[in-house]
Amino acid sequence: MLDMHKKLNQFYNDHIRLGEERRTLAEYRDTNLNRLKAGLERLGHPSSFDHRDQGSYAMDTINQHPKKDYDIDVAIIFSKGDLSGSALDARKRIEEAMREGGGNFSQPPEAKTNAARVYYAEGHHIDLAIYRRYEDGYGNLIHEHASSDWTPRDPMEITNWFNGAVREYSPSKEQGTTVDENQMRRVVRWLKAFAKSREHWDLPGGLVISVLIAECYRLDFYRDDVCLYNTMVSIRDRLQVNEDVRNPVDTTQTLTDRPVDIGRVRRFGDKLDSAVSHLEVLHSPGCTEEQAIKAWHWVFQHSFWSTDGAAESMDEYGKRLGEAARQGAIFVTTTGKVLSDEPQERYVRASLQRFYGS
Amino acid sequence: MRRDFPAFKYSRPNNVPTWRGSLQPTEISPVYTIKIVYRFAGWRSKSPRVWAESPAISSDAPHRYDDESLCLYFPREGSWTPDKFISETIVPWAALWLAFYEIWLDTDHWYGPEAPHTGTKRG
Repeated sequence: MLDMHKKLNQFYNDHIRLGEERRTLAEYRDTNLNRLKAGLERLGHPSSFDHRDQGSYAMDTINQHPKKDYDIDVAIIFSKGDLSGSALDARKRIEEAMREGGGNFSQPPEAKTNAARVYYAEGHHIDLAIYRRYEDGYGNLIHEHASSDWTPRDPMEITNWFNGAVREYSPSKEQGTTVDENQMRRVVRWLKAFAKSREHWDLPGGLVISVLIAECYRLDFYRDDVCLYNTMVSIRDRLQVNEDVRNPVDTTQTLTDRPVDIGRVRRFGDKLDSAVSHLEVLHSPGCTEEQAIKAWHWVFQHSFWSTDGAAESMDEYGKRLGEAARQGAIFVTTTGKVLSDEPQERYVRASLQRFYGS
Repeated sequence: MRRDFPAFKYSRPNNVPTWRGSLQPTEISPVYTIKIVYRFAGWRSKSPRVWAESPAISSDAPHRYDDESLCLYFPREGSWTPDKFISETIVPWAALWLAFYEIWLDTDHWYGPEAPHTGTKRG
């Protein structure tokens, strides 16, 4: 397989990892926790709580987003005595307190089933998952999550599971690897970037992708590109046999119980199959660097993967061609090549039309 | 047709007037075999029917009639009428359909201009 380890890591560092933006998100989080505290105080509610980072922020798998549409998940944890009403009341209280606390909302705070969500005009949104805790008769610290009802749940269990899996499965320097530590985390970020590479793809979210990677991860001691490719093949093969994805901290629960979830997982398998087909060229003995870059461009649809810095994504090409068709600026050559610029060779200019049907 | 799309050939299998030829919408596309069935009958002519015969088109592809022929235009808009040449309308639209189909295959989105379908499709 043509070696793209170094280039893949350059892409990772320059275009995938958050870098300094991570600090900005931490500031957003702290500002919002202060707003929540102020809002609770103004409404006369107990305002003492702990917090824990959750989701991709805590797992350190948030990728750069061109529109800064970042999702920050935070668990806020109250004493049970301070949050004794129903789970719905708790979520509504937090929603009201966030509204009271102020901020540059793009839409009003909203109590969703598992969290209170706050959208900010800067592009990001924050999900505040509400917990309460108490000691049971044996001195155990019990956490309950406010979903449709109060449900026993440890706010850190998914994060701990993921960070543990990254440590356990990734090759380490002591084992003699030449790649950077935490290879599995990089694979999660690359495959999350792949899943978001087309604007209209409707694929699984970060947790389902992370679970599939933890299950199908194929480490490589010397090359990240080999590891990524082999893991993609492995997930594709796994999904061809079984589309059910289980909660890693409670395998009696499925993460794919709704038909829409199964549809997303199935499409993820199909897209991986297409990606693997496009990457096949890397295994041919005569594969050139240009061919390899084109193949990885198909996967990530990012201008980084270009030999002249101008590779257009398929979405960009579609928009450009669609606009040209609406303007009557489509030129078709004698072999059927479709162009939006007038060619030198013989052509027919396509007259205006609209495709019919759904 | 011979001048604009020389790969298209005319024949009358089973007395059905048929144009068959190839289109390749981009340099990296496969070469598609296109079949156009059209019987000219003056102002009473029915719309040409167009199929992409090979390679096989995805069964989920949008903008096709029940017989899998391509929905290239909205009949009520009059973008095609019997006085227009097939080579200046239907063939370039078929190439455009293929270009948007390939983008749809990759992105799950149809970027071409669309007339929303209501009611039963007509041929």
